[in-house]
Amino acid sequence: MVTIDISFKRLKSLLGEPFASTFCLSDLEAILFQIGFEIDDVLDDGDTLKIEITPDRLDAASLYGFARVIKAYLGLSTSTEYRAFETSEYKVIVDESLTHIRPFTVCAVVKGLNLHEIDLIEIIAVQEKLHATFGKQRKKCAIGIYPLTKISWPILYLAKPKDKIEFTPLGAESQMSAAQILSEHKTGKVYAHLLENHTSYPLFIDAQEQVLSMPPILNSAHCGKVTIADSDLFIECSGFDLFALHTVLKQIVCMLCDMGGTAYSVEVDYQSYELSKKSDLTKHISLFKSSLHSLDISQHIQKSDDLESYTLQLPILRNERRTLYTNAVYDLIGIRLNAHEVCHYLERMQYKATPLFEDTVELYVPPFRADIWHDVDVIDDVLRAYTLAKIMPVLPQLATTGDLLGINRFEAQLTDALAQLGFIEVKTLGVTDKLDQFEKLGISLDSVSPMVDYMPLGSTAESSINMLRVRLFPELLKLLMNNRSVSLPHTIFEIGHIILPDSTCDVQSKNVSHFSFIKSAENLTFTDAKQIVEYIFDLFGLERSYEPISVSYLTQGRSAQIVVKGVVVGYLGEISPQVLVSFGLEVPSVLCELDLSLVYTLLQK
Amino acid sequence: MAGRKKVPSSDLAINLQSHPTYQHSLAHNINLEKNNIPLNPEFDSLILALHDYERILLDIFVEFSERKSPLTLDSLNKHIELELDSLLCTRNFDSVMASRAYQWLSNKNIILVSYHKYQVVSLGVNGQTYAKKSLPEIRMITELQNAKRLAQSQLLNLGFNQQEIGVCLGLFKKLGLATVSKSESGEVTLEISLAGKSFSPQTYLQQQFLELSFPLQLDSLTESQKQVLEELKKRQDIVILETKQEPKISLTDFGFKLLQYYAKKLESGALVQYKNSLTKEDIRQYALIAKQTVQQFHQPHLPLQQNVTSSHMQTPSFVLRPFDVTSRVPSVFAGRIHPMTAIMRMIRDIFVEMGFSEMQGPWVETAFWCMDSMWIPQDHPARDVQDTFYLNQIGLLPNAKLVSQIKDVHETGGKSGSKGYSYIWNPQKAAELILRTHTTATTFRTLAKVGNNEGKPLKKFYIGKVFRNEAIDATHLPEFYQVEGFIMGEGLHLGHLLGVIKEFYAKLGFTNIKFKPTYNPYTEPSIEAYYYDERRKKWMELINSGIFRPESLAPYGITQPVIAWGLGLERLAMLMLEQNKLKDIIGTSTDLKWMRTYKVPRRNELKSSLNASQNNHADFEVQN
Repeated sequence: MVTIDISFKRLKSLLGEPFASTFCLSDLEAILFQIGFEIDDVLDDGDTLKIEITPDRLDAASLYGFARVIKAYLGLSTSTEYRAFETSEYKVIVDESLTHIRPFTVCAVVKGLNLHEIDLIEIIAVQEKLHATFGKQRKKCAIGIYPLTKISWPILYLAKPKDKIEFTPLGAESQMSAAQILSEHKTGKVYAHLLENHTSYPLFIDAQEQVLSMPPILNSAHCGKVTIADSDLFIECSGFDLFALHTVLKQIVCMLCDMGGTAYSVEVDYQSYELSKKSDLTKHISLFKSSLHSLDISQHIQKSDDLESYTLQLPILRNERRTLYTNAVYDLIGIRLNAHEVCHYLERMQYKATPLFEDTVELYVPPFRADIWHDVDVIDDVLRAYTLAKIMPVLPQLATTGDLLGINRFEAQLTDALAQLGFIEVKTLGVTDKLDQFEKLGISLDSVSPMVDYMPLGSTAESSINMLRVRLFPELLKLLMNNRSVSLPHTIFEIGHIILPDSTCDVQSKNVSHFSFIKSAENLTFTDAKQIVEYIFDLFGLERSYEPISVSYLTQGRSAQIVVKGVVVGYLGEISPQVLVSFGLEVPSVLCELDLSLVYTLLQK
Repeated sequence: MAGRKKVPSSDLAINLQSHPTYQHSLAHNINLEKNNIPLNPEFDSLILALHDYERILLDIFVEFSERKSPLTLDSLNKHIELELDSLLCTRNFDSVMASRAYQWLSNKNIILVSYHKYQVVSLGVNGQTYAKKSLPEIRMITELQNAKRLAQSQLLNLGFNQQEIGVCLGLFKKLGLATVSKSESGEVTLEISLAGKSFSPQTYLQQQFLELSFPLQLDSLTESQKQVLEELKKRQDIVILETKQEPKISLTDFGFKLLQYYAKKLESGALVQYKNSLTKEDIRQYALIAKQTVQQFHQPHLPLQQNVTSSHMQTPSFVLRPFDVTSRVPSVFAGRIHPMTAIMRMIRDIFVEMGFSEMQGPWVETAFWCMDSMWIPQDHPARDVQDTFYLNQIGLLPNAKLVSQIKDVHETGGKSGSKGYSYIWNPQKAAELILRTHTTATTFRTLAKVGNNEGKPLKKFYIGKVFRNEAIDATHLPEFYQVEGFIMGEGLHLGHLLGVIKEFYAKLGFTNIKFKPTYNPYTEPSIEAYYYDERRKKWMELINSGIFRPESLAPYGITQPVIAWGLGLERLAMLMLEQNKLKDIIGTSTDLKWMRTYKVPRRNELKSSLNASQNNHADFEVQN
């Protein structure tokens, strides 16, 4: 979920009369529930609403975008047409030096704005919201906005060796080197990691070699500071995925158009063979084209004679045409609607829609919608306008038989048997610590290796979590340690999975069902453990034999492995005093650990 | 020993029996009015049911009642108030026994228990030290009287700590015993004043106070002592003030009458002997009686054994003390299944009732099965390192054909009728090993295996662990149990999804539910299902659900619609167990005390559901 701040007053003023005076919070709440959004909180000022939107609806992340959604739902506006006027006036040349750094940009110009302070705040808020969510903290996509009047065309997007970069960034008084920006500047420090391991950093510079910005970090103070006096803006998005950059750019441009601006395209020249090749530009462009399959975009994407160079005229703000069959609506949501009804509901969800035939609808998806991949997405919008509450729940009439996994039935029988013997079942975690699973048992960490003896975990939030358990009983010992103050005797058991490396499996490991119990009380011996084990095997009618074993965690002469049909299925014995001490325990304890997957298999034979 | 030849059978009573005071009280004739007390069956049965502890108290009361003559209830209660504690002490009657006896006797309206609250003053750690070696201000002024001037460093050398120096500085200023100045080096220095020179430690009230014998009741202090106490309270760990409460016992009118009756019986030796529990010998007595009865029946000519009279034939020579069946008993601890196991069984039952069979899958997964297989894009937030456990190892991708179909469906939509995500899908990213973040990984392993299931319907469910790379605290664990079910079948649509969820909720006992649209990358529509929690008076979300997207199914050749839903088991457990601390239930911090006593979660009785109404109707027809 993405949370956005919306001023209820400004929202109402965008809705216009009569809603501006009559629309109340509960009306909004009801609409949002149908659409799948939610008012999370109303701030103390009584006006700022914290609204949760689903992460697929980027277009609703701005006040204007949100207002578009509500207006359409109220039937106030049918979809607006957006357009980016084509012009060759604005050109950005992309240099091959960016190949391995931040290869792509898509850009736009919006003119004729009359911005108020509050609009500027809104623009920055949306920019940051898009950075934080869709842009993956600027990693996937960074947006820069500049006053058009400061720029001399064409712009060059290139990478420069970092020690050659020097400019005055936004929020600084004087020139700073790239190194200074990344180590001293407030914004620079936050995003410095995005450029680490690079010796050259990306830059937008204009024809007079003024630095516009150093993406994805920050803008320059001279060319990158937008004020209310600026009516014309240049917008760029930089990153690694052409389609994603275009998606974000459309969001910003549509919002600026809603604020009263007029959009113009910017020509971006990818002339370098090296860059095209290494950054998969051809592949990106073909994916981009296929995503816009319904639009004729030949004039937007031109390939030069040299096969690997392209000129892109973006953004494309035209609506995308689709057709939808009413039968498909019935198949998905179980409601019979005619083409007119479908159109009615689609208009509530910002589409332009007309009945083509009795059972076919022609519809246009507005450019800011980034969540329409398939007919099902359109039908889902029909559903939201129709309202989910009107769908009748019915039980499917499909005859099938139910069944449990045999191993789970077996585990349940064993669980009950142990509970009847007075044991308390516990559930410990599957992720654990090497210290507990090996070292505290007297198994040196040098003697075990990842992917052979255990499955390791990469970086984790908790340093004591670094592997998947390979046995249960150390977890039970830890549990007993945390329950030292509870009166004796302690009789606990667990049935759960352990993970063992297995290179024959696609996941290089396998789940194995294990069982372990521990009894802790004064005067316990091997006999107390064996009694239980004998009881269990008698219960399942399995013949077993016992062979003395020597392991670091059990007392020698008081421990054995259990053999069923010639296979070792587990072990039991008195826990060695050293192990008790390493877990902070002082009470004599016995344990047993069994491979239940194996026992279950042997039971079937 | 006239009245009590047989003694109570508990260990305690046997110990007390040998106590001289006890013997004396029983041997002594009690000085009650000699008028005959008529038989009182109510009193008899009350006396018979007395526990050893209660008898001991009554015996003490009898002993008090012998002290003065003529005795009234008031004077008896005066004795109880003044002497009960010390008498109980001499009988090794500890406070737990006493409080149980008080509780039982007051339940029977024999005594009245009220609680007297009072404050007790005792010495803290510092107080105890200063009581022995004097308060620091006394020691310091004595040093000053000798040295006239002392700098802070000298004081430290003399064994005063910083805190003590601070306290003394303040006190000396206030009392004018010394002047404080700073030396040239800036060091705090004390110089004794005239008053200081003539200060006599013997007259220092604070010190006198410390030398009282503690603990003391606050009420017993004089006004001036209380003032001193107030000052000492401000200093660290010198005095401790605690509130205590003490039961105050008095006999009721009813109790007094009973006591008189009891004493009379005691005197006359008419108290019935009783036993707390049967012994083998006792039971043999019954056997003997039974045998003789039978013998007499078959051989009436034989004489009865001498010690068995006909009246004894129905009653052996002992009485089992009747218990107060309403009184509390010590807890027993038995073996128990884990509450999550109980809830999992409940869920398994529900699924099997609805015709579902169980799936299983591994904890360690390739990103492929956990994400890519169901059309979660490779840059989806769910794949972020901070949320997912990565093993930093590579697993194997499935067959090349499936991999290429997955690649197509991500990039261009493949044959699913979708536009696709229009990004370049990276097979290396799909091969990364992770701990599965949701059980849908297992669902898709199953779907890949069964494909379109030859057009036949399929219902599957799974309960398994999922993992989230999260720091552990009271309510957050890095693992959860997830429940997941899906139905594949021709003609399934949203109404069926809602119907199945409604049924599922009804089987859990939740009937007031509502649905809200949401977003999931692999389902469309996606639906959150809330139920109204009557106890918490709010809507709670438990189930997330949807219809699998065509993009999610197309690579496996599945053309039948598939509806699916899932829920977190911990959430349900919190609701059913009324236990908010996950850490107390799951993991090595599990609280065994809680585990010994938790209330077993039960499935709410089916109230109403789509099925129930149909079934009820059917039953009705059968009956006709």
